[in-house]
Amino acid sequence: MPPNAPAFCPFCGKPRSNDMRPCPSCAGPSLRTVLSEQGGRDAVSFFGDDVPTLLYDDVNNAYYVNPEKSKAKWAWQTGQVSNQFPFTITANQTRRFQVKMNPDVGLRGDIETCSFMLTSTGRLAVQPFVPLLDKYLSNGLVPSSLMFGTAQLQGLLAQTIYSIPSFDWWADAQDLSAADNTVSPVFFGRRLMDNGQDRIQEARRAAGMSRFVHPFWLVPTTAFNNTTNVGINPNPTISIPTLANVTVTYTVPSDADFECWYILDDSSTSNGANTEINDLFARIKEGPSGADLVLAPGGSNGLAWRSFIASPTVPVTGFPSGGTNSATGGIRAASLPSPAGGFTHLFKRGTDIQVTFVSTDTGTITLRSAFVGLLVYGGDPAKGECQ
Amino acid sequence: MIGGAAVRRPRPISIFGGDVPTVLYSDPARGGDGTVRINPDKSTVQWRWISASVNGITPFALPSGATLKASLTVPTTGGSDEGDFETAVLMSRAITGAGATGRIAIQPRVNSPTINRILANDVICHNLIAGTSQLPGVLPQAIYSLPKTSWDFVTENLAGADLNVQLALHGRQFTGCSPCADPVYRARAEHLRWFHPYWIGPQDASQADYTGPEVTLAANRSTNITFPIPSDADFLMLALLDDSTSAGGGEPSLYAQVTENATSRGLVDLPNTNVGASSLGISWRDFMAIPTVSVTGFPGGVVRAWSFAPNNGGIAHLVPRNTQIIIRFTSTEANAITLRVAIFGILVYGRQPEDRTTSMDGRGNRERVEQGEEFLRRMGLTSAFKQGGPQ
Repeated sequence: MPPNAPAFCPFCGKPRSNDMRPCPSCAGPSLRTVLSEQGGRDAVSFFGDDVPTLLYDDVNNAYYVNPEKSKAKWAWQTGQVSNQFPFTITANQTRRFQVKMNPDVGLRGDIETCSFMLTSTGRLAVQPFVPLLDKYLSNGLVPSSLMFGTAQLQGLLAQTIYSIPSFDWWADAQDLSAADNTVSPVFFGRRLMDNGQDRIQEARRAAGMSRFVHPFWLVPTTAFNNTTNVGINPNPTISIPTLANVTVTYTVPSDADFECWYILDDSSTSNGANTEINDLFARIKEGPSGADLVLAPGGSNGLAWRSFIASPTVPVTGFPSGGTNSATGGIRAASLPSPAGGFTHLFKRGTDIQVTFVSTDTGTITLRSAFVGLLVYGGDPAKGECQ
Repeated sequence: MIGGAAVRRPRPISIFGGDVPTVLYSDPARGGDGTVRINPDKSTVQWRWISASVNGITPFALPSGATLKASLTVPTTGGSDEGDFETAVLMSRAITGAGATGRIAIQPRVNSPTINRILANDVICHNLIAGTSQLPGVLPQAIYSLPKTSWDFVTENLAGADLNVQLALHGRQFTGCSPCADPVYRARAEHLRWFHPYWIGPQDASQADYTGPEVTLAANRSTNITFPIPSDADFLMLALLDDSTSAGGGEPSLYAQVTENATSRGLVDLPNTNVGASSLGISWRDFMAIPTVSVTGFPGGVVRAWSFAPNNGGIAHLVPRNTQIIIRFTSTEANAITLRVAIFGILVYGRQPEDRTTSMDGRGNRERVEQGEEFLRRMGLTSAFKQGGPQ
């Protein structure tokens, strides 16, 4: 079980009963303060400031190249199954792959991961787990085109993830292509080779903070066909029949709020003549009785999903593209500016986000969608835990 | 900062500092009248495109197999000393008489009144340096220069056909005397002493076949290619760039491992037991280098680099001076591959730590460093990443 996030201080690790006040043991800032400073910053900010490149020594009146700068090195890590990269997932099966956090010398070699990349011979869905955080990065299997990119458009994380050597990640990967699938996952970031005690401690405090804010993909938890009054299997893709009205629910975890950055979509239609889905409309409600986020006339179907709401995929080198699971698709990842202009939306913990899709397509739509952002732990104002 | 990766825009880091404010507020608390006014200085900062020419002609003719030097000079505006210019973008176009596009290679040089800098170790395939207005080649850091600064471009024809070539800078010029008269802004032109954008292409005195803007990797061949770091400055790597093509016409099947010097650990973590393709590294164009994409006016593509959004999450990698980056390329296809690759980053001058005559350890050092950082910030000379790695 994940630790109770507010129960300990991320800076000294000692018990801490109040998130709103500085730590009684180490005087570390309140969690609320840290979150307000850290939330929503760029992908490399979690570790803190970057290592400066130039230093100025006013005793000698000279500029020096910071010797510590060259100890932060680019690192590409591979996802492996039984020491194999690439590896093959048998048709329709699930395999678990490892991402090894190899140390360099001794315990040096902390890794800060900032982007996910992957190529495959067919579509698949993935759910990563980060042991150091004791957290999954999603609430279910996520279509890989919504999580990974390639060098052309990397799947940049909303916030980096800091890892200590030997805390290997793992991920479950399920083939969706109905054929043997050769998969190459690659994770990019930087390896910190620093020996400086202060910097290591600073970095590892940042690692502790990852427990309170980390990237998260929210995929459908339930789906219901309003036209036929029949439930639909939601995971990891949803089949929307011709001309159907389907409500899809995305449930925010009960122990953390969700700061949404994007809604991503890589859906396709069986209507071969219509490769782009122009015939899928949507409305979004923040819970069954919550606010409507899409304001459109009552008699309308809402707004075109891929034109106005979700960020659709774009074709890039090396990534699957096409209309079916066995063909290959595109990736938009988190690399391009959000259609929301960078505005985020905080969904409270436990909220059932409801998206009502109306298809006017003559084919069956395979819906691949996810809300992407940061899961934010911390005291719950609704319980009087924040003042 | 709101957003982060989601809202970062491709823009160079301004040496000038923050943009000139558009609206000014006259604060009554400070004796003002509470009005909001358009900043008169704003309209003195103007877009400029400056084209390079050969013998005063642009576009200029570049015969097949020829190498020419094109040049431009930043003009003054008004007075003899006005018109500071901040270059943000490099653009180029090379076409044949029939209108087809062709590749060239260029090596830019900046000749300011106080210091000259070459921006690449050799001529580099132009797809990896410049762009077009569709995807401009945005610099990671703007180059601030005084009027009368000249640029020249060694330009080599790679197309095997006569070409008409146009090269241009795009940026902003300070046409009013207010900024220009300020010695602080003038001092910022000195940033070239400390760092500037730089491209490194393949160069190895012992391997002539693997030196230059285009090198050929034979079918199913594996080889080390060297990218030397200059002896007088460290190199802050920002991106690996690629515009390679296969003689077979398809996507090049190319794997790579990157090392700093021959003996260092590779930057790619591979399985302990090499199985199949894993022994080769990882796919160069899928996971490591930013490949080109097709745009108007370019053969096969222009580097995406900083044009959409940053790759590598803004993470830079510093390689010490007088060392080298070695990339081991392995082709797994039966066709020859024409490699057009470059490493893009910022060349960082400054003394080496071992040159210090006083200790920089301990608290005293920390204070000096902090003071130094503050000084650098005031001068617009903070580390490249902070100011602009990708934003």
